[in-house]
Amino acid sequence: MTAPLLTVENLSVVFRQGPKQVRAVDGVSFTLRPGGRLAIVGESGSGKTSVALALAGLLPRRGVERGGSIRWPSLGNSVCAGRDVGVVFQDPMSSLNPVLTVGEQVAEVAVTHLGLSWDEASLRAGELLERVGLPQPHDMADAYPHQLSGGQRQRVALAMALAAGPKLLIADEPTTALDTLTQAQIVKLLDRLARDTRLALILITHDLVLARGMVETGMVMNSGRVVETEPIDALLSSPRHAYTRVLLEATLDPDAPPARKAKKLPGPPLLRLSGLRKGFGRGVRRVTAVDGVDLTVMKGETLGVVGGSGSGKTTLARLIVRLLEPEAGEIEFTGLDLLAHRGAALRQTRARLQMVFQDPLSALNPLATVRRLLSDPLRIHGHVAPVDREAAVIGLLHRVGLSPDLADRYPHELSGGQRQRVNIARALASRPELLVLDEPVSSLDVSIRAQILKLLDDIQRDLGLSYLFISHDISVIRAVADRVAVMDNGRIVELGTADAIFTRPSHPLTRALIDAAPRLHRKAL
Amino acid sequence: MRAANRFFSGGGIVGTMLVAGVAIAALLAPVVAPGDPLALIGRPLIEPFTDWRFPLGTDRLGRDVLAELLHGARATLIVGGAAMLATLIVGIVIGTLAGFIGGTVDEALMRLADAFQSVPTFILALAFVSIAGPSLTSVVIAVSLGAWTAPARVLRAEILSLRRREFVDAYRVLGMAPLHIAFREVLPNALPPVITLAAVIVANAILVEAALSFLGLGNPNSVTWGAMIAEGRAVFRSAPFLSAIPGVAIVVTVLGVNLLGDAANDAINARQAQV
Amino acid sequence: MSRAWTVARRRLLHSIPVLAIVVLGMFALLEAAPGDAVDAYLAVSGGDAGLVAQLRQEWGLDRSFLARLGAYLAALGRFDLGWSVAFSRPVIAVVFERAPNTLLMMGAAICFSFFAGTLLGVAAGVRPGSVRDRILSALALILYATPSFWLGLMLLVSFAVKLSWFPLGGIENIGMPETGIARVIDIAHHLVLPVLSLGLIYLALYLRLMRSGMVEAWRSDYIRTARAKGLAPNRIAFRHAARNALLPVVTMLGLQAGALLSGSVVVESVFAIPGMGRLAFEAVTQRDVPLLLGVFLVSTIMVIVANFCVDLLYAQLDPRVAVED
Repeated sequence: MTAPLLTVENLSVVFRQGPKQVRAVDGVSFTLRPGGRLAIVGESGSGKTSVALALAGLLPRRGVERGGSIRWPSLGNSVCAGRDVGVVFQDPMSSLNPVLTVGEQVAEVAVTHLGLSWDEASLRAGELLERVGLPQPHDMADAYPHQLSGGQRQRVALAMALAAGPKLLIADEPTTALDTLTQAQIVKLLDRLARDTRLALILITHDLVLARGMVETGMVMNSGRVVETEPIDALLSSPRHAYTRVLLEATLDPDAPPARKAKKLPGPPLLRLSGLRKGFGRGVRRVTAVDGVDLTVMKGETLGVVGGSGSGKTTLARLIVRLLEPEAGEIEFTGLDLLAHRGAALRQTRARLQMVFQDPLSALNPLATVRRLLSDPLRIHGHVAPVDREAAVIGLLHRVGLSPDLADRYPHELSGGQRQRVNIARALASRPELLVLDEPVSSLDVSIRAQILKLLDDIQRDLGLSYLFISHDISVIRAVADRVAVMDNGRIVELGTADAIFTRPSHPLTRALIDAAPRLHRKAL
Repeated sequence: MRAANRFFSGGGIVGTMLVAGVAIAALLAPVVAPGDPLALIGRPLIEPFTDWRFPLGTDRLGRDVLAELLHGARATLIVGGAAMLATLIVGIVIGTLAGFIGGTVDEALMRLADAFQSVPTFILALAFVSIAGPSLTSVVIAVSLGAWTAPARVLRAEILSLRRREFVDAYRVLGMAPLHIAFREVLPNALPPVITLAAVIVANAILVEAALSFLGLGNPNSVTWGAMIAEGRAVFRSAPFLSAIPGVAIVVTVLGVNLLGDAANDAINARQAQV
Repeated sequence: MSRAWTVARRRLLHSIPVLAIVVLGMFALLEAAPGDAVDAYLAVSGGDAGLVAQLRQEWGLDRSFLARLGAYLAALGRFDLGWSVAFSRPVIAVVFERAPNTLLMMGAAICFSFFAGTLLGVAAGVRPGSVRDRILSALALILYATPSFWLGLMLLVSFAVKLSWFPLGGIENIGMPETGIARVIDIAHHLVLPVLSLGLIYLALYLRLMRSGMVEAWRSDYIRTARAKGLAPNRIAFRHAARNALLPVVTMLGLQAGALLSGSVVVESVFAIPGMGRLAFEAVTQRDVPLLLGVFLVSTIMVIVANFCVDLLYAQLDPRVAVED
């Protein structure tokens, strides 16, 4: 029995701001053997990141009280961040220094901890960049962070973390800011590197499914406390604690059969797009974001649109609601030529065609109360008499499951889930027939995400709405869509019923997206 | 609440006290020192703190330095306030037009701002006052000529960044009229950072006015601290206090205004950090 | 290299409309000024109504607005800034005679305030809230509120009148002119107090900017990463935090070139330095509008050149510049 790498006993972290104090971490204990792999799973505010910062000695110096003990028995208890513990953070853009080359940022770790000269260190930086799979690593060393893609930046961050040959790697949501395909590549890379160098790994994540493939032990946290610590398979197959079960139920299983069976929908399509095209920029820089898209949305159905970042999904959404003017093509809504509408006629049609945006906070005017936000559409479209507006606002709040007490709050006084409910309520206020939902749940915690998806489902059933549901996450699409369109480079590359797409994907991209989704169960081979 | 707390932290309190002190001095000037402050009422060049009738002494013509100082506070605050109003109004109008209309109008207005930022503003002020003739109005205009670009640019940048926020798209999708979105929903969000510039503008105005008066181009109809310094300069070997006292008054006033501005800035940042 | 070229070309293209606006503005001021060049000329040399009409016709002042503008632009094209009545010489000759002194003083003031300001700003911003930070920040606040002409007067009273460490004014010893290295030392000796009075307020500005840049950097993710990498505190402070905090200071350096020229007007007046700033003041007191506008145009061009240099420097410091076009 070797000494454990890390023993954490009764760790607590308290943030103080003036008279207020927040207990972010409360009595956390665990051990990690050398080469062991642990996932700390929790939603925002669970304290998981504070644990990671405490382990790496990165808690702010002032305004923080740390209790309990962190010991490193096999490292002789003198542990140095960067040398013995490497850390990778969530946002690869902001966590790299924008004005230094990536080569220097990797090399300086080797200079600091391995005592190399700058020349030796830049050679080593080149090797490391190659090991993390960057193309032409020696040219890349001279690049600046803004010249790299998100995935490449995260590879650089990984090279920095590994430069001094640490014994433990702490990865704080390392793939959350990346799209599905890149995420899968980074996960694979992390796994391979950790195995090659017998590196211990602590993965901080909100995603139980992601943890599933990467670690042996899972520790679930909620409001600063450990809920349960179990082998990851046991945690997923037979969770003992109620909170873990909530998390697990909220987690979308990419291997489950599609939630909706294709139904035969009568009548002419509610929305028909044909040959829709839109580009940005001129000359060599021109990018055709939407390139000849034909689609229909039937009454009462949910059409899921899935694709990677830059595939043109959001541009498509903005064309449909007339935030952008297409260069070519037609948009027919309830049999009317939408592009011919101007002025008052356009305003009338807009009432029937609404959109819910991706970032629930950014989509709400920070200076407007919930009451004012929800009254605006009522006033603009005038379908509710002024005396009845108050009642209508309360009705809308009720409809999206919010208490009427929230009517006088400002957006920053609401939680993320509440904000997105207000966004949905606002879109519903003008009694639309079609809702364009642009990544409506991608910025939300899993348990909140499940609630919002349920709400959208209820509303659709009650009001007979049609949805055009855009997401980068194939598992979300699987959970909501009747039919699915897969988008790449501005084109629809595959279109079919959810059942057909998920059981018999024909386009390579569709297959790649489905395969890249983290699995809840080990695949039967 | 927290924003208010942030405002009344150390610097904010000192700033409030300094500015309030100057404002009280300006208000009390006619009471404490009635009559014309430029009247020759005493023996020339009395040293400060030697004659109780003239606590701060007299200048080389026998004018009461304290009376001049108090009346100078009034002139200073009037110029600072008027220049701030003029500058903010011009800056807000131009910044709003550039930010909302965009395209050629934006391009033209920003080149105009570039031009005004490329000229040495004090020489521009000199040229303007010497051509228009020294008066309160011309001094205020001269100060604003060099200052309006800052609020205009800040407001424009703020509007451009707000326009990219999804809430503006959400209003458009609702069918809200573009003018309503611009002025009722976006503009109020863009104003706070511009308002924090107010202190910077006042401080700058006070310094520019003092320099103009020092060169003899201030408002000839009132006592100004800059003119007092210039007046004292003639005898600065024998009576340096005549230049020193009004200079200290300028430093104290500008310091107070800057402290207020910093505190307001912190308070607004704290508020936005909450949002 | 191509990046620097892109930046240079963009800035040059930028300056053309700026200069055009400045020239038009100058012409407008010239037109708005009471009396014209002939009145000014005759005020000195005297003459009758016949001479007035003759001169007006000769100088093209009786023609239409557009023709006058055309003539003005044509003259500018020949580097003819008009006739200085006060000096009875071409404006351009007077301005160029005075420019070197101002450039010398400004250059010294910029170097002093930039280097001392950024270093002190780092010293303050390394540990925000420390005693050192509080003292430096308070000093900067006070200096930042001090008018440069008054500071100049007070320095003059203390160090030239009372202590006699420095000369009372002028750019060099006129009574006994020096040569060679002795002359350089003599000029430097004369420039100490003016450079201090002009530079200290900008020192305070750069200190404040650098400090707040550092404070912001400490809160950033890349500093957290640098700490996670276990780098030495000095490397984090200088290579990571200060390197980023320097960017807004350099931007401000360009914006302040005009302000420094403005400051030179009063400082040169206080220290009796025959430079462009003092020339502007002399033009005002002698009601010599063409001379004033000549100073104005030349100093504007100096600001544009300074901004051009600062842009090139900035492009060297911030690799992201050329990307955003």
